[in-house]
Amino acid sequence: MDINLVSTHLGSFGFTLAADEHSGLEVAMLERAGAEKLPSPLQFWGRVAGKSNDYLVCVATASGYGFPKRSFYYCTRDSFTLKQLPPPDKYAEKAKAVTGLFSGDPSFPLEPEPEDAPEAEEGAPPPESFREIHRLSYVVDVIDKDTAVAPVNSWTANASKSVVANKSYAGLSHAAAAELRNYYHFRAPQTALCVAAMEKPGLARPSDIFDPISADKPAGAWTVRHNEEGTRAELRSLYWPGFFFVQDVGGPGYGGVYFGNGLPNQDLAFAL
Amino acid sequence: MSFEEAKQVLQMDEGGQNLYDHLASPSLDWAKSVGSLFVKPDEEPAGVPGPALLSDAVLFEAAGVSFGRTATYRLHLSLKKHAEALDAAYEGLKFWGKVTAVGCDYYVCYARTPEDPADADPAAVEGRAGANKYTYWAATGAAAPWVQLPNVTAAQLVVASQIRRLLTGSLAACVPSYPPFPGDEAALLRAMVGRITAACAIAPAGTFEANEDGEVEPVKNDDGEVDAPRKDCAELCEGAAWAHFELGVNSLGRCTKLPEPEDDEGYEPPEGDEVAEPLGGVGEEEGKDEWSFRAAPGGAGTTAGSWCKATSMDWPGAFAVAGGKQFCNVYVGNGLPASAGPYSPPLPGDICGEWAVPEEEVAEEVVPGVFPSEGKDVVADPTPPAEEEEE
Repeated sequence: MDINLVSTHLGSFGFTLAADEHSGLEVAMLERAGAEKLPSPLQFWGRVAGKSNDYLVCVATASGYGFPKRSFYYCTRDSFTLKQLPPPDKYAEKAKAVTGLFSGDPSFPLEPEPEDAPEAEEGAPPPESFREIHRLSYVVDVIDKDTAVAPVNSWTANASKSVVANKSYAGLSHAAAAELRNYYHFRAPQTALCVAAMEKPGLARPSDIFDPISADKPAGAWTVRHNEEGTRAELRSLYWPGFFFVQDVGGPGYGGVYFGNGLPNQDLAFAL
Repeated sequence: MSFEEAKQVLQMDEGGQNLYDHLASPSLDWAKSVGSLFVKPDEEPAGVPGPALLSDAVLFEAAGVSFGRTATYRLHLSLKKHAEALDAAYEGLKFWGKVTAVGCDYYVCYARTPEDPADADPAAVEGRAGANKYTYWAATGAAAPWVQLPNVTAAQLVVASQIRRLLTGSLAACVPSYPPFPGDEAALLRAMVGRITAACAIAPAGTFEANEDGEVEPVKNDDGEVDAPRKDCAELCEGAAWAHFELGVNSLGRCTKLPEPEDDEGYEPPEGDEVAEPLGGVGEEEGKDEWSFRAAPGGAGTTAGSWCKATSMDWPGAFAVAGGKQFCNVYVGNGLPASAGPYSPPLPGDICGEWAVPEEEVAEEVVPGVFPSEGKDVVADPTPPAEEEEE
């Protein structure tokens, strides 16, 4: 979500960025996007709450061949310097096994230090071990793959098969905005049909290259409804409590945020 | 039917609204009903004083909770109107928070209950000294009416802690669950709110004290005015600076002990009939009642006068914010506590035994092949005269 929408579009969600977080992120995002010469501005992704501190996460989306590359940056409220998260797959197996809340310290060790470690040379960096930062990277990646949403036609694949933002996206009508079938997973396609549509030469319809969220299991894992005023439509994931997506009715503004503790609702089958 | 005829059917007026206008401009109904909140009344209305939502919202926002600047004001207008229509016997209407449901969200407010519930068994439904200290109302938005939630019973509080269900968004909806929940969704919402209040209502220590009757009341100075202690941010960021100010719920679903029967001398209270002392400290029990404290603003912006935000780890979405002499509690969440592992519903009870001949009747020996003869009819008066009461 564009960080400017945070103060206007999250009213019916209930959570927002406090003034210090909002202000610090504005500066940090400009700084990071400028330093890395990112082609498009960074977007605010969400806040993952920990016991002693919270992680603020931003995302950069770079279009290229195929699905855009998503890279995540994080900071805590102590420094407001965005740093890139490590790749999510290196410690995926270990991260999957960790349950419980985040501590809030990125260097918090999540596995015991090996006892028979060789003496490190003086001045050499300590060997890398599985730490909370790796778990954060894994969890952010999983949540993003499960919940990142794009309304139909907001992104499109051009003839060279790179997925690009649709500059003439005009939003959804009042009725269409409250239909789950008009929203798609904003991730590299996973279902066979979408993968095939993406590999087929020539143009593909935007609705063919993204996985629809309406097919997600269990049925009812997403809710969509208008806000009280009827001026926006809101999506919530019940599997990832804290994910909120908002789409303007009749306007191009949309965006999703995650404000949660990084834990899914495993009991959804009992809760619906 | 022609287009014009269909339009006429849709335009038929029902209770000041018609379907045609609703479909053609969906925000019109909402704008009309909320618009009436902005009309200044000619006379100063009676009722209980309006809530302090606007000043509390400043504290919420420091904790990262906000319903939007304009929506909060509309909520304030709606609460104020509700307070004006309320019986003056209710004390201190306050905003409680928001419970999200699948179909819509419930905003919840509460006020001190004036009287114990009439015609209720005090063993099943506690009065205003216990779980029904407050009366709660829920509304789905600023334009919606505030609906009073029913009094909570001990059985509802017990079952609510055993099930994990999301609310649907309709107060009249039934709650299909195991163990069966005794009530509809309004009762479940009331039970959720009651459990969260009991677990998460915390204030800086010294703000409340227990009076002679054991009731928790705000500390007052010699002039009888509410006088909370002033604490700075660094002090508040330690758990020891906070205390619970509502009674906890025990395993029987009660905040107070069961009433003792008057005529039974050898009365033994059932197991679990214990209540914790009021004004208990925060985070004293290991692994339970865990809170995390942050300065707001944090990082480089913290000053001695900054707010301190307390976040409950057991009830995601429950916050308390304090600073100077002010404090407030707010909840935004789905009404479910954090769980350590996957939920499994409680096992069903023991299976009923097979039907068997009662032991006394077996005494008569049954000879195989011989049909038992019918016994004599027992003639007894079905309505024996009541024993004369001793006076």
